[in-house]
Amino acid sequence: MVSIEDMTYEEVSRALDIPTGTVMSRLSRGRERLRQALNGVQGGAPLKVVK
Amino acid sequence: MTSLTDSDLHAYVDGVMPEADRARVEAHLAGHPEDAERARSYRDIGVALHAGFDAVLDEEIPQRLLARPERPWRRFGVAAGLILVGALAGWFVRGYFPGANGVVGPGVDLARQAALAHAVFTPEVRHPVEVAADQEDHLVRWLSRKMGTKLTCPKLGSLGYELVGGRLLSGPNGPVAHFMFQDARGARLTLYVSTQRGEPRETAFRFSQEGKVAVFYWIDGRYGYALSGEIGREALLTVAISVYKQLNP
Repeated sequence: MVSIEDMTYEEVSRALDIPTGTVMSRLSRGRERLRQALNGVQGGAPLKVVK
Repeated sequence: MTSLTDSDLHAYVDGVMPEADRARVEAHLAGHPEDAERARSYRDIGVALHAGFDAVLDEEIPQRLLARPERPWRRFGVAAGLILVGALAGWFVRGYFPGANGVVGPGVDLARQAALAHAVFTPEVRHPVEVAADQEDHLVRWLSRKMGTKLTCPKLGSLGYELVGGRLLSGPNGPVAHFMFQDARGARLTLYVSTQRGEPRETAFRFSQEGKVAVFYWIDGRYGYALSGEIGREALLTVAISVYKQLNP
């Protein structure tokens, strides 16, 4: 929805009835997996989440 | 040192970040090439998704996907209201679409079947047709016998298209005659002639874009005709008019 339909996080959150934070975490997980799949990265480089 | 969360990076890529935060992310990316690389990949993924699936956005949503699982009553009420409004609106506007009584359905099928046959046979190099143009008389006699009517194979030489040949196909309502034409550059057009179910009738030209294949189609008596090609609508229309005139002298 974000990538193809160009919806904002808020629009996605409303459409799916989930919090915006969930939209963002799902997007970030999904896109990262897609990136690794496309790069053929095995195991996955660890992501540092710096708070 | 500024910190960057995954969500910041995605929001940055999606361009949904306030100006101040953007600057912060850009500063971070300048100093962290691996994160900059990640941002670039995310952006590339977006571009690739657009390239791959934008065409799908225009497609109609299949009916079976529209059936929603039951949800709380609030939604149910809204849905019932919308259905009622839709039904009423549909009832009131139905008179404005004279073609709506059965023509749209089979016609759309006709365009789709024709585009499918076009897409299947035109890329063929060695066996594009069953009977080649050097046996045109035989081809037309044979297909006429199968279709139970006297077919005419249009001549499109003046428009730059020569007959390649034709083949017999099976369609949803029986036999289909399929003629293929080709121009000097090798671009191919196909004419799909199928038997129509139901009462004989006539329709105006209709246009349908089936993916890359443009189709003009019409129904004349008991037969449906569809001209398909991967060319522009205007160019295809010119040929379709010529075909129609030759079939209805």
